Amino acid sequence: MDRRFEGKTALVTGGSRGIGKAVATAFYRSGARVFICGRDARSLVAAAKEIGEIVCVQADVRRDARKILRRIDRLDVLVNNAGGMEHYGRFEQTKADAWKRTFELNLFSAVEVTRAALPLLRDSKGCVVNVASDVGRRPFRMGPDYCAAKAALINLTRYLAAELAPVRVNAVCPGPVVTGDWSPRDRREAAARTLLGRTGRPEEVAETVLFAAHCGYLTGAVCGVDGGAVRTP
Amino acid sequence: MKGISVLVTGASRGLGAAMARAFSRAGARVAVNYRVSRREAEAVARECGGVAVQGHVGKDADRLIREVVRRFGGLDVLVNNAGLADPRGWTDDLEKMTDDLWKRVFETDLLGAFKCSRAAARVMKRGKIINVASIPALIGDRDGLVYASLKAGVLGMTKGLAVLLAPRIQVNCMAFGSMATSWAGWLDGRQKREYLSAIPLDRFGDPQEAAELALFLATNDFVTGQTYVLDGGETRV
Repeated sequence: MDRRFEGKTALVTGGSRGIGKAVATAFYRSGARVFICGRDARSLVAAAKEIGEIVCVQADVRRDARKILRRIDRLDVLVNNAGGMEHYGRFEQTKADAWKRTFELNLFSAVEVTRAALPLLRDSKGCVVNVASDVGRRPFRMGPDYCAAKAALINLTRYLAAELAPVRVNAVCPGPVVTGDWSPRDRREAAARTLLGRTGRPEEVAETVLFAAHCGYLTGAVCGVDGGAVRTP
Repeated sequence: MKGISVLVTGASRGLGAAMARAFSRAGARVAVNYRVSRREAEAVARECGGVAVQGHVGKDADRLIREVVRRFGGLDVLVNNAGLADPRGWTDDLEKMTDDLWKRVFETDLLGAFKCSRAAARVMKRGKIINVASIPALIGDRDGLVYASLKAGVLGMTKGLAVLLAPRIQVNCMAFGSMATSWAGWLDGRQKREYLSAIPLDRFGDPQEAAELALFLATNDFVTGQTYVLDGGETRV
């Protein structure tokens, strides 16, 4: 059995659903003490029931970074997973407030949580894993704001790897992963974007996050797990 | 990795040996390829409870793969690790980059990886091919231009094979930075300090860490066409 994270503590933002829940589950199963945070109390409770003995913090990463970290006294792995698309529009329909909201949710939240977690990560010589997206490496029609915010998160990862060492900072870039209710057409289109002809499973992304968190010489790396959708650096 | 059969080329020492051991610890059956270092390879194979198979990857690829299939009944993971290790190629003097050096590095590092991949693709039902490159292929370096150029070929071949062999076989590449292998012994004190000063983690990589990446790529079913850079933060590409 995999007990790679025995005695370690991991915080997964947006850990109650989708990829975040799979990441939290994988850390828990490999022996870690796990904290998750999320906005929705009901899905936090449901996730905890499903995963096991983890600690849930109801919080919004856009506002509550310090509140989340006050609950934690030791931290080895921070997974900045919270994020997402709140709307879907072409460039001309994407107005300033939409850009702002997208960057707050996908970039600034990771900045603030990382900043708040840094003293603990320095103490433990821990690491950060930023869950970005394949569209941050090569844009896809997902909204210009989302693609740009994920690209910014990837470059922030590379920047921080140099400045924060020995704290390691890596990005994991999932391709299409079906987590909510996708239409059959969306599923087909997403699958066609990959070389493997299918969408990914949250567990496959979670494996990648655990690898990035564990491999001691990995920092500043961009780990694609996207079925071959993107093959640029 | 229980019941999985793995071939690591160039596994008599260094990163290849570390990978072979890690695969074995994870439960795989391991074939340890070597060209000339028979005693070392046999020792690694014994440790792994596996087999040592002799052959030059650029010349004997078909026979190598056939032998692994004969011993194990199949092949699931190929690690194209073999690379020419010749300190004479480690130079910043263009005049020393002879045709002969180009040809020998080409035959092992690029053609060898291709021919082993082709032979493996014939026999794999589903499987993984994992290539080895290094960061000079991405960003250039003062020394080792010939190696870097042909490793850049490996990066390109990885993507092409990922496209051609999908969805049956996943093909990925590991681009290593400065790892603590025999290469590190070619450096003098000044060179070593120079290398270290460019690495945020301020150390060379451990072969175990390279093996951990190989194991990850051998087990994850959704990674293909990717280059994973393992370099202590040196390139940040």
